[in-house]
Amino acid sequence: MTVEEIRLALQVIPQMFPRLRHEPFQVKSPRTIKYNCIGYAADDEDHVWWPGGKYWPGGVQRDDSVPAFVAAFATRGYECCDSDAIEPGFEKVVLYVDEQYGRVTHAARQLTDGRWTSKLGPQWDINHLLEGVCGPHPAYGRVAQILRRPLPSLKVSAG
Amino acid sequence: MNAVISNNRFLHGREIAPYPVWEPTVPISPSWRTPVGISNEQGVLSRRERDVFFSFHPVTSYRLPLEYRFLMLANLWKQDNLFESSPWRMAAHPAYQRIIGMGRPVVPIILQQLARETDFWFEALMAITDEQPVPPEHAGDIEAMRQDWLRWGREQGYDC
Repeated sequence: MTVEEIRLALQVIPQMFPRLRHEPFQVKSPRTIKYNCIGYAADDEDHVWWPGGKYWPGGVQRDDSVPAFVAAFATRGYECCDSDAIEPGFEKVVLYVDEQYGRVTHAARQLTDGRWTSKLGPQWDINHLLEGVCGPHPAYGRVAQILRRPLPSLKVSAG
Repeated sequence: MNAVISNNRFLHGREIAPYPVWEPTVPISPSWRTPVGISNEQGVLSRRERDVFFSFHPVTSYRLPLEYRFLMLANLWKQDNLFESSPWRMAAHPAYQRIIGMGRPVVPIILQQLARETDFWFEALMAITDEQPVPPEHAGDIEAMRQDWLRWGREQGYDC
């Protein structure tokens, strides 16, 4: 990633995400449309995940409601939970929804230090605080659902 | 080899004001495949396209050429969807819908744009052509979807 691209990202992102004017965030990758926020949260950087025409797990309802996305992440071993705090042995994903209709707008994955990482549409991956990308459109609304799954390494050792 | 282009320019046989100094002066060749600007990477319009645009009188002209209307709408669509994650909402944008409304004549323009730069033109192509050349196993693999559509375009005789 070039210095110019980082500079552009640091200039543009806070314009769209009001909270990031005051909260810290780091730009982590060059722009790409190879994958989207859902794929990135699900650890799949080869596909754009979205129902209808893009990659979507088989047998999962094809709409942009929270239950549909929870079911999609369940195919990757995620289950609903209540806390966004770090839990040893688990990795977490959060779903964001728009304020008006409650449709899923975005997803982020928790890092080991408690911050969250997500891909901003067809643009960059960033690390941010949980509510850093919240806010009215074009930001991603509000946090709707936290999901968690056992870390793969622990699953192996437990088995 | 880059030719040296004179700054004089003509419209309907009359010499008109020269290009401003900030205009790019190196021609992009071949001229008939000049890239057009709708992304940061291609953010500068070529002379040819600028000439076409300004050759239409702003008040009395007929409609702008289809290519230019496509570019303006595509630009607007990209600006408004800079951080949009949902392909559905991207496709629901009014500018995208207007591009779909242009119908079959815009298909070669979309395919040429897709050949230059990967983007979410699949929904528009599908809506206009009523075709789906992307096999289920390529769904979500954007590069494979792009190649599928370009292959379909070439099979239909489009230059892409």
